[in-house]
Amino acid sequence: MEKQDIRFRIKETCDERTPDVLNSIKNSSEFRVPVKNKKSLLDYFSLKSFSYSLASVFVIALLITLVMTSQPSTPVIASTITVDINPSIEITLDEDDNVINVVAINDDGEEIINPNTTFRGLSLDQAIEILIEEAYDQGFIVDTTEENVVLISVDSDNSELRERLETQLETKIAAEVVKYSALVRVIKERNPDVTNEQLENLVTIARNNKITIAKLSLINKIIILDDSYTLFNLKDQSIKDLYILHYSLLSPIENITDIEPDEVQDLIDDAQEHQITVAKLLLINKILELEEAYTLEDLKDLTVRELNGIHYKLLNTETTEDDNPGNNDDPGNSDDPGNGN
Amino acid sequence: MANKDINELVKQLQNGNIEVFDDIYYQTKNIVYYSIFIILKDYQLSEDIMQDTYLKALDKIHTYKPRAHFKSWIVTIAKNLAINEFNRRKREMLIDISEQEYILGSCASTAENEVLISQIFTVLSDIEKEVVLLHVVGDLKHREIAKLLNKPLGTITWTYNKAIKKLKEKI
Repeated sequence: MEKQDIRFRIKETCDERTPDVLNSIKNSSEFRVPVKNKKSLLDYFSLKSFSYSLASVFVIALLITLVMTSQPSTPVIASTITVDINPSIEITLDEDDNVINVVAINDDGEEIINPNTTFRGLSLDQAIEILIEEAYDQGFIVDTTEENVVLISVDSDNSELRERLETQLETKIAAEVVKYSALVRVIKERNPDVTNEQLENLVTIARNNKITIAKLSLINKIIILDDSYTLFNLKDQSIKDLYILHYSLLSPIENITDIEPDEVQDLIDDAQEHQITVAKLLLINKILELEEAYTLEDLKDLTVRELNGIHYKLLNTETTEDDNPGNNDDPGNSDDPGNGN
Repeated sequence: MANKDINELVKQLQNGNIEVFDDIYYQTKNIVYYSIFIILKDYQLSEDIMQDTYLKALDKIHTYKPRAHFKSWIVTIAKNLAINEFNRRKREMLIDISEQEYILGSCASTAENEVLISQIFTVLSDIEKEVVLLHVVGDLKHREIAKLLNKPLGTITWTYNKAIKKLKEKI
């Protein structure tokens, strides 16, 4: 049942059940509009109102003095959290883990932050509940058989606080998404281990491209594995797509432990000679093992996504052939009496 | 009818035009009644206090200033009278606080709506009940409710969303 339906039913029900006491009110002897007392000029200068006015002026003057002389109390930011789905959001927390501010990093982020909602003062859990609900309502979280992927990052000078918040955030996001019968994978990203100057540079790049540092880090990992990708063509991808792409690029490298150490150097040399990454070369080698009709020259200029597609098709074709008992071209095995072979 | 219209009606009432009282009554009776009912939990008693509320509002009508929403003003009167009555009955041991349940009374309504009302008053906490009724029945904005209940706006928004979610799960 939608929110609007519940609202409508509550209103309708309350309408039905409220008694009507209008006649009882009107039958009362007290049912009249009292006459408004007209004040005389003297009344305006009565001691009571005059003294109230004087007291008010004094209090206001005192308050102004206090405000001007006191330091404004701005909350101290103890930690900064970013949440990326496709909307990207930044949440700042004070020392008590209460929300100071929630800002959208990109345009999708603006969609899930309701301008009528005041996040300040809420707990992190409360803020996440509101944001996940809005993300679901706006279609950024889907309740299909596919996993939603959420990237989180916690930045704090206190490593214990950072770890605690990472765990809390991961748990809360998972709990909230599950309420909508959806699946979720929460991935954590930490600020890269770089100098302050380098980090400031990364912050500038991220801000200029309307992405979080966490997303920029993930994009950088992809580019390192396959430099045919650029920040420009990846920055608007969803976290899910980036995660799948990163995973697909990593997969071939996971098997590198099966290769002898001196073979690894050959692979690296080979990759450099053809001006491709090792990951791409390993993927091409897998395709060549499955289909000899291909050559390295045919495949090296394709993108990793295209290569993954070919590899996947070849794997499935091979599986289909193995599983299908009817697909047997050996005439010696034919049991068909009508077969003249 | 918008806040501006009700303020216009109240202004006419303040100028002595008693004819507009019916309109004002029908625009506010639901929220007045349920604001009282949340506190007293008794159908008949709430009806009596509702009557007293309008008579008192009429008596004090010249003290109303259009700065605040009229519904907020009259709900405050209603709640104060309800609280006074509650305390009076408590003092006179007319009610057992620990075992007080909602006496919903009988009223012509569908079975489904009976369940809904029952869920509102049993599943929701006191603050959730108030926020839902003020927003849905009283048409007050979250900001106005925050001012009325003297709570942060974020708390009101979060409380409302949580309450609606609870009701969605139960119904």
